[in-house]
Amino acid sequence: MFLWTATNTLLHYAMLLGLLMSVGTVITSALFRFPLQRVRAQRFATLAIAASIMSFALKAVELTGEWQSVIDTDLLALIWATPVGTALALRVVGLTMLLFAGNATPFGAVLGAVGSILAIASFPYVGHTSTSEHFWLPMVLAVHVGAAAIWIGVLTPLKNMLADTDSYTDGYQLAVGFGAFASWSVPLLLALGAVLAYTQLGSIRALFTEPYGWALLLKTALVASLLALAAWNKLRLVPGLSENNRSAADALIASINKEWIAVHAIVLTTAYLSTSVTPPG
Amino acid sequence: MKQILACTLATLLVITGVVFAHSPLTTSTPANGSVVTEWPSDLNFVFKNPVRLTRVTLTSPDGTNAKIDISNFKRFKTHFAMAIPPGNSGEYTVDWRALGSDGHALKGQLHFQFQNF
Repeated sequence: MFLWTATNTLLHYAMLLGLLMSVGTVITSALFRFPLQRVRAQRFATLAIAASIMSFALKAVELTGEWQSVIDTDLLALIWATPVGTALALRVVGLTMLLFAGNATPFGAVLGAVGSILAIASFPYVGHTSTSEHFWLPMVLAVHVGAAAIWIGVLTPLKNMLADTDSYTDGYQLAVGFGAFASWSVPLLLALGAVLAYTQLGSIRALFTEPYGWALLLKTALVASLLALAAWNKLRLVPGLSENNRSAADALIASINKEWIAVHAIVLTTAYLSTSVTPPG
Repeated sequence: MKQILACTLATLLVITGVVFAHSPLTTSTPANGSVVTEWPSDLNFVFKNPVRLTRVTLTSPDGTNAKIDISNFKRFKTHFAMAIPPGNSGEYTVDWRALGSDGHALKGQLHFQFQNF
């Protein structure tokens, strides 16, 4: 059971990280107007495509308990006909478009925008929200995922710009621009996350009595630690960057490295919540 | 901060140790935990929502596994009746796996005891 849970969770973690990073890299470069790091977007999109396909094939094994089912075309066709197949199709098509996205030409920008929308649109088809009777829940989930992708996508470009003397000013402007964006998008991300959590749990009490609630509490604690770091960055470190202060930049880079660890832990917990625990009811 | 990752992994492992799935199987005949004195020729499942059964096995008291024929079930539905081979007295375990119409993989297990007087 542990091996199965670990495999399922890690594959979903790889898919989530790859998708959020590739979408985030493409969207943030368009949103905050800095050159797109195509190789980074392509690497993470490839990771997400591979993990999505492996996850899909693994579902066939899960349905029979036999490894040879991974090539059982009848069973794979059966899964393909469900929303899981729709989600895989949207993800693979969207992420493939991101492989060719760019912000130097209108065509590349359109590929980036449409690919990102398709990849994000895959989420409401699977997972625990897909069976909800609330018609607005898929939209809430999609906006939540999009906001998370932007937050995650801005971290590495910001770090790289601040580390390089030539792009220091661009890094400062990105930090300020993202700070302004985060001041409304982060509360939105949290509010939508809370709505999603409550619709899955059904009560506050379930947070403490159900395994799904415990994993959700863990995610909440991790998000709180990330928020604390982000608030410290915005209020203390970013203002210090205005005077071309190298030590402030180094402190912000160190803080972003810490944010990355929290992000990995949050994505891992989200992957576990999506694959290995069932909401009550 | 690296301790955060370690703590996250440890917590997830602990939760995995106590996690339980909410079974979508509403009723079954024989019922889980029941004692029957007449061999049930059929195994009946009623699910909360439509599913496609993908595997059902019956484990006998001597540990042998028999795959139950489910090849007739070609649609998503809630009620299933399957013929099972005759057995001797003892504890039997039925393991089932299914695909929900929403794409979720489902599985469960039930036990019944056959007392042949």
